[in-house]
Amino acid sequence: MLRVLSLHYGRKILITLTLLAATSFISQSVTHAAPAGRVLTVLVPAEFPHLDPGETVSGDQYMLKYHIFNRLFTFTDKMDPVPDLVVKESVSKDGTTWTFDLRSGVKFHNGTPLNAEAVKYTIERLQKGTGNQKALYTMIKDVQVKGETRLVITTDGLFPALRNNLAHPDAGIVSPTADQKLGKLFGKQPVGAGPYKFSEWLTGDHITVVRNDQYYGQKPFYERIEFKFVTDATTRALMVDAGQADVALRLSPNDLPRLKANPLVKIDQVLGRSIYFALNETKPPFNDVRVRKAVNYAVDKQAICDRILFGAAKPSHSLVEAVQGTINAGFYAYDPDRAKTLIREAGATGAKVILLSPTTRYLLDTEVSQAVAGYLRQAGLDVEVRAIGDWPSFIDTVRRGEFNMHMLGWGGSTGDPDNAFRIQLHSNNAGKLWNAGGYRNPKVDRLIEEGSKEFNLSKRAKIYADIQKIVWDDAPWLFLYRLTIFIAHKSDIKDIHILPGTEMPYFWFARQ
Amino acid sequence: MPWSVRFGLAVIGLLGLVAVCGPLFPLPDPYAQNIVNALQLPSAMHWLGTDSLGRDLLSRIVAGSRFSLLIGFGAVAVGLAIGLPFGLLAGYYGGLVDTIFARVIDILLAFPGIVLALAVVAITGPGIGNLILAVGLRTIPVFARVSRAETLALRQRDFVEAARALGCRPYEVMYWHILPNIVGPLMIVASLQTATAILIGATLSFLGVGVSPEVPEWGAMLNAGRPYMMGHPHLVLVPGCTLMIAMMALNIMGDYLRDRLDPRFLINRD
Repeated sequence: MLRVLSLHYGRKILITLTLLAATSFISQSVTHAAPAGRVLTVLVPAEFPHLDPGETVSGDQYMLKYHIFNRLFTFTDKMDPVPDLVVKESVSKDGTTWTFDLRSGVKFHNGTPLNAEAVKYTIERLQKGTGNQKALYTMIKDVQVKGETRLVITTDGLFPALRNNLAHPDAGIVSPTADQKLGKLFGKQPVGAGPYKFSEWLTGDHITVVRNDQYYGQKPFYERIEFKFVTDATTRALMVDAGQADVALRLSPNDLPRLKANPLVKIDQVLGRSIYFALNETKPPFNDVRVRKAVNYAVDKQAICDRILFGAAKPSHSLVEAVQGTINAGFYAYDPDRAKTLIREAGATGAKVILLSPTTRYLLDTEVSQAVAGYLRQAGLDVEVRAIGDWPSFIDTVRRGEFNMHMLGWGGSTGDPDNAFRIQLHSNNAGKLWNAGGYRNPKVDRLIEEGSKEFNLSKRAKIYADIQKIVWDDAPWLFLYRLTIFIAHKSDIKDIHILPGTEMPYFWFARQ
Repeated sequence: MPWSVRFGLAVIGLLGLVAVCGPLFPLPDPYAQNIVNALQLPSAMHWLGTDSLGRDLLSRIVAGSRFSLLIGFGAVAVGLAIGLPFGLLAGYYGGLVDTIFARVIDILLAFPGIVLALAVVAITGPGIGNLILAVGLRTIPVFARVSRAETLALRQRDFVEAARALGCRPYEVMYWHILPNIVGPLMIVASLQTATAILIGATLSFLGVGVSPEVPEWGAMLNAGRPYMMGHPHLVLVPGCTLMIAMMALNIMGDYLRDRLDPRFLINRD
């Protein structure tokens, strides 16, 4: 009897050991698989619906467009615009006529030439379209083609920051041939003239771009870049830690200690976007400025920064702090009693508030949303938290107006405050995605128009300071904090540049 | 009764007690945040520690038991209410009725449980009612299959024939003679399906489609604790172990019932 049993158990043990050995061999071969060509794997948190330069919903989208398209100007790491496709430029005496000479011999990824006609086509395409990046070109009145590579742009009044707008990731020049052929599908198979060509997009999984060997600039080191979508921050950290990916974007601060202890991983950080909640002014209770101010007093921003974000954030003192000319516009200190009183005075105690929270879009966004809901409940509002699983559904729900407040973040993508303020605060854009709260203030509208025309630097600074003070008082948002953004990469990869305005790394200079 | 079954019974009894009487216990409010006290380890003030927003974990587990049991029993109730009559009718009448019902059941069974539930929630939206519906949809074919098989077997028996010969109408035969005899196996299936239903509900919340993030459902707590796993594992261990113990208890009870009630019937296990 015993002999039979031991044979039985013995066989079980043998089978188990064989399986274990087999699986370890398999996992070994997976991690040691030789890469085909020099490939860079970048882990991206949030996917987006398309890559059309006409509309932007996220910074990750910018990153892809920055690689696939190029622009008349581009940004230095200090957000100063410098010529890229332009080789010679001049401005008329009255400041409204700009003449640009383009680089000659540049070709799109499909072989067609990038000339002044293509630039004119791109600008008019955006102006005629309905995307939210129209605001980049609203001041351009007329575009004239004066030769294969000469372009004359006339602006409607003065617009000194034209070069900033032309350096924006969404000012990419599109191939007219491809756009006409693909029509609405252009956003899914973009064709530009950038250092990398679009190769493939498996929705929900990854986007691959391959090196453009006709690129006129410095030849990029990596032949292929794979942008993989991995929504969970901890998973991204673990993948870079284990060497399964080269770069991971937007890590959670509570994953940092483990990465810092790993000598094969390096961490870059940059002060990034401002996070806030846009308050819907088109319906109660936030149509009353007292309630909006109350909400700002009700939330303890420092506690959120310290305890929930582990110190990786600083409470906001102004609207969008990554732009030039940001000032200390004030601070709504944590004052729960004042908040309760204001809400009671406005008769909004017990008012129902629907709070929309994204998940995995911004660092620990669901946690912060719940914390904000907790504070608002203490102040007397009846808050319901709705967490929307993916970013495209989230912006869909915002567009439909089914909310009282929703979380958003904004970096300064042109470095110039005009872009940020115009898209989010101008009444022309009320009801669109970035001003879905419906903020309208004619005084602010006027100041935005003036600021965009002002060439004198100190006058500009004063105008934008005034805008910030007025808006701070109007409290169309619950001002929260400015995030520190962490990017981790393999320590032998050098020269990854990061644009602070959009916290976006770009890789055509990177090498090993 | 073997000690493992006593353990299972005790756990289920405790769960039921806690789910029903939970609000009466002198525990902190499971939704009350206290950011300054976030991520504390178990202590005298907080027996299981606090989560990322300073909420007491013990009271959240207790509050979560309501949701889990609601989903478990709710889904089984849906399955019984629809699956039982379906199977009974199919087994009794046979022929075309049986063929149609059997094919419908097969179609529903073809989908893996979580995929079907995900699809339903994607259409109906989040919320606990929709969650119960989604998970319940999965249990319907299981109950239908079992009751059909039992009814088919019983239909041949002498006492049923005798009832028919005496002039009992079909629904009388089904209600008075067949139904009492199939209750046994169905109870076994019900207990096992409760465990599966709770797990599917927790999985959906874990994936983020079940309930609002503030609701202390065990699967949602598991999901919320994941970013903190490396530094503060108790956020994940507490709901994870609770789920595991609850599942084990329900499974042990189901096995015991099967061994005691009728070992010779073949029960479909998922």
